[in-house]
This record gives sequence, C-alpha cells and structure tokens, in this order.
Amino acid sequence: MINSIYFGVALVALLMILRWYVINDDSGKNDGSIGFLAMKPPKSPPRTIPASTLKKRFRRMR
Amino acid sequence: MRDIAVLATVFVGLIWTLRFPYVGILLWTWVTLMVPQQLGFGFSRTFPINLIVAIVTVGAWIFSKDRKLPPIDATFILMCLFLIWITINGFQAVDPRWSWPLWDRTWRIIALAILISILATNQVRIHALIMVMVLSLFYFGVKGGLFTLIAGGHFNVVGPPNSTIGDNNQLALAILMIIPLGNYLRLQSANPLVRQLLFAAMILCFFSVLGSYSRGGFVALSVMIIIAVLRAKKKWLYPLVAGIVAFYAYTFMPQSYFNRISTIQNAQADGSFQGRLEAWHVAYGYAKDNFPFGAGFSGPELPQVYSKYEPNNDTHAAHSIFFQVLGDNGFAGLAIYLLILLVIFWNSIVIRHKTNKIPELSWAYDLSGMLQLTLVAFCVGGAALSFAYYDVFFIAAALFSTMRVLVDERLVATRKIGMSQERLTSQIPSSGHLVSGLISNSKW
Repeated sequence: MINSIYFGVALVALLMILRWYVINDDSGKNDGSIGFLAMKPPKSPPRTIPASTLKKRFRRMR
Repeated sequence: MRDIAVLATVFVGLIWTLRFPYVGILLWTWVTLMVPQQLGFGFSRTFPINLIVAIVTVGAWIFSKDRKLPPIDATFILMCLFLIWITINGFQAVDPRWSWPLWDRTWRIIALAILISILATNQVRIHALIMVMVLSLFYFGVKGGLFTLIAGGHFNVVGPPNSTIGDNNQLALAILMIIPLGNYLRLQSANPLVRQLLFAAMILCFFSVLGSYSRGGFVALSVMIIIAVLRAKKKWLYPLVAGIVAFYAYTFMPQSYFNRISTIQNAQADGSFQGRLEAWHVAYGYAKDNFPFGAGFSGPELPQVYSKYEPNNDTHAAHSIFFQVLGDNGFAGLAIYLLILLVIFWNSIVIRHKTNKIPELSWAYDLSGMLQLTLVAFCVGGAALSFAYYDVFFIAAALFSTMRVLVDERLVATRKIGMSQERLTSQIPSSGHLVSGLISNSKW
C-alpha cells in the first residue's frame, strides 16, 4: 500500500515537471522562472556606478 | 492499478507531446531510466511503452518547427561513429542471436542522446530533463534509503527487475551518478521547500548506496565526496553530509556490511576480484586476437569464448566499463568510447571556464560541475562494473554538447551588447556612465 502511494507520488511529480516545462517553454521567457519548480533568477550583474552618483549626474545633465 | 496509472500518465504526456515534442523526450527518458512499466504487476510489463513514446515523439518532432539537426561537433560525430562501429562489429559477433538484442537496446540509447542534443535548445529544456532524470533515479534512492534506515541495513537494496539497474551494484552506481544532478537542482531551485526536499532525498540516496552493499559504490562514493569537498564553495556542507552518512554507517550498519567492505583491502584473496581479473583477461585476449573487432555485446561471456582463454574457470561478466567495451566491440570500439569520454570532460572544462563568474550562466556552471562529478562516479564505480552502455552516460554527452552551443551563443550575445555599450558611451561622453550603468543592469 505504502509502495503504491509512493509510486503515485512519483507519477504526480512527473506530471508536475512536464507541466512546468510546458508552461515555461510556452511563455517564451526561457528562464524557467514560473511555477512551483521555478529556477532561481540569475543574480543581477554588479552596478558599474552607484545609484546616488547616477542621480547626481542626471541632475547635472538636465 | 499501477499499470493503469502508468498508462494514464504516459497518455497525458503523449497529448502534450503532440504540441511540445520535447515532452516526448522527457517521457522517453523517464521510461528508460525509471522503467515504470516493470514496477507494475500486470499488462504494462509487456506493453511497448518505450516504442510508442519514441514513435509519437519522433513524429511530433518531424512536423514541428524545432530544429532538425544537432550541433555538428565532436560528440555528435563520435556518437555516430560508435553507433556505426557497434553495428559493423555486430556482424562479427561470436553469436549474433545473443548480441543483437543488446545492440538493439544500445542504439536506442544513442538515438535518444542524439535527439536530446537536437531538441534541448534552451535552459528550460535542459533543466526539465535533469528534473526527470533525478526523479527517475531518486525514486529508487529515496525508497532504498528509507528501507536501509528502517531495516537497519540488514537487507540488500536492489533495483527493478528486467532493467539495467536491477543488480545492487548497478543501482548503487546509477544513484551515485544522479546525486550530483540532484544537487544541481537544489542549487538552482527558487523554492526553499523544493531545495529542502532535494537535500533530504540526497541524504537518503547516500543511505541507499550503503544499503546496496556495493563495494564499487562505496569506493565511488568516497572519491566523489573527496572531489566535492575540494571544489565546494560551502566547505562545511559536504563534510557534514559525509559525517552524517559515516556516523550512521558506523553506528547502525550490521557487521556483515563491514565484512563485505573490508574485502576491498584483501582483493588478491577475494574470489569475486579474481573472477574480474579473469574476465578482463578474456576481454583483452579476444580483442587482441581479433583486432580490431570484439566478440559482440556480452560475447566474452559466452562459454565458447570464455573457455578458450580461461579453460578452468566459470564465465564472468566483464565487470569494468572499459574491458566490457573492449571485449564487446574491440580496440576500435574502445578507442571511440574513450574519445567520447575525453570530449565530455573537455566540454565540461571549457563550459566551466567560460561561464565562471557570469551570473546569467551560473546554471550552466553549476550543471557542468555536477555532471563532471557524475562522470567521475561513472568512471570510478564503472571501473569494476559492467555498465558501459548506461543511458546517463550518453545523455550527459549530449547535454554537454548542447550546453556548449548555448553558452557560446549567450557569450556572443553578451559581447554584442558590450560592443554597443562601448559605442554608446563614446557617442555621449557626458552621459556615458549613465548609459553603461543602465545597460549593465538590463537583462539579455
């Protein structure tokens, strides 16, 4: 009985993976970010200039 | 009931396959690795699920807009060469009726690997494939681990009947090969619950390897842990896992387990080891006498071949992936096989070098690192086991090939963005830093 439940869980997990793939592939984003099994988003690259400095420069430009 | 459940799952998958052919690849991989039809008790055992999935997948792929050719690289060429060679060698087999069924299984594995290299065209597809592979083998790993814990390690953990992982040694190696891929999923999953479940499953898989009583599995596990500790960013994690497993093994595993493992030290006196030496002698002898051909799949195990080189001993399987290929497919087959292995390792090194410290490609960096561990386990554990044509090996080869193409494409795109960034900054000197800041923060 426990074995059969365990087997059932594996089948459900497979369907979840297939569904995750279908949704993510269909979304066109191709980063796997949707759903329960989502992939981690990539860390954003380091900023070349701090935001405060950018703001000051932007003000000066205006 | 299980038979109906398996067929219903496959049916749902096949409906998706009609629109998304890659779902068929995922299903095919699942059926090949987990062998769910053998876990049923009725008609599913003889139902040609694999064939139906393959036919629907290929049909859907032909009529889809997906690309039709794989990346023409060393891996693809070598896999095709290997396929051609094992076919030519099949006609030279000692007993073709004995060898062709095993050839039939091997060519399907290579066909699946080639289809993966054609269709795994993005990060999501590769990630989904790894998930299916992990699910398929963690199924046995988690179950075996729980069984070992509950039974106190008194009984052997074995795989499903009538499959390539039915034997305890083969199952142990298959689980060991998949643990690094489980770790890749743990590293890359956003959901903390998924990460924790994967971590728990990995620990249970280690227990399952212990519960298999496999000495080759024990050696491969030890080597894998040493390499993982050496390269891990979190130096405490792997020693912690190793500590838990070692503590359990020392405290709970029965004396019979230690008796079994301690025979590694007295290999010369061990009958099993002597049998392996004899089988290697047979494989080498036949390949040398029939250069460049081999005896065909499992040919060296035939009494008429074995008795020629070891007349006073009983037949044994090759018990080494390298001698298995040598005996089966001769020196030419072994040369192609070793080249495939070499190209896989080379690709993994190149991918890791190119993706190091690039956040957008951290998944490729992690995956190639973990696949390297998978291959180390395969080479170490497989050195004393007949497991040369295992699906995960060929799938890993295909994954590295397609990942390398993906990484190169991404890096070219990055370089283009970098060039346009330089052009913009040179055109607007006063706001150059502002533009470069905006571009570096944008996603590509």
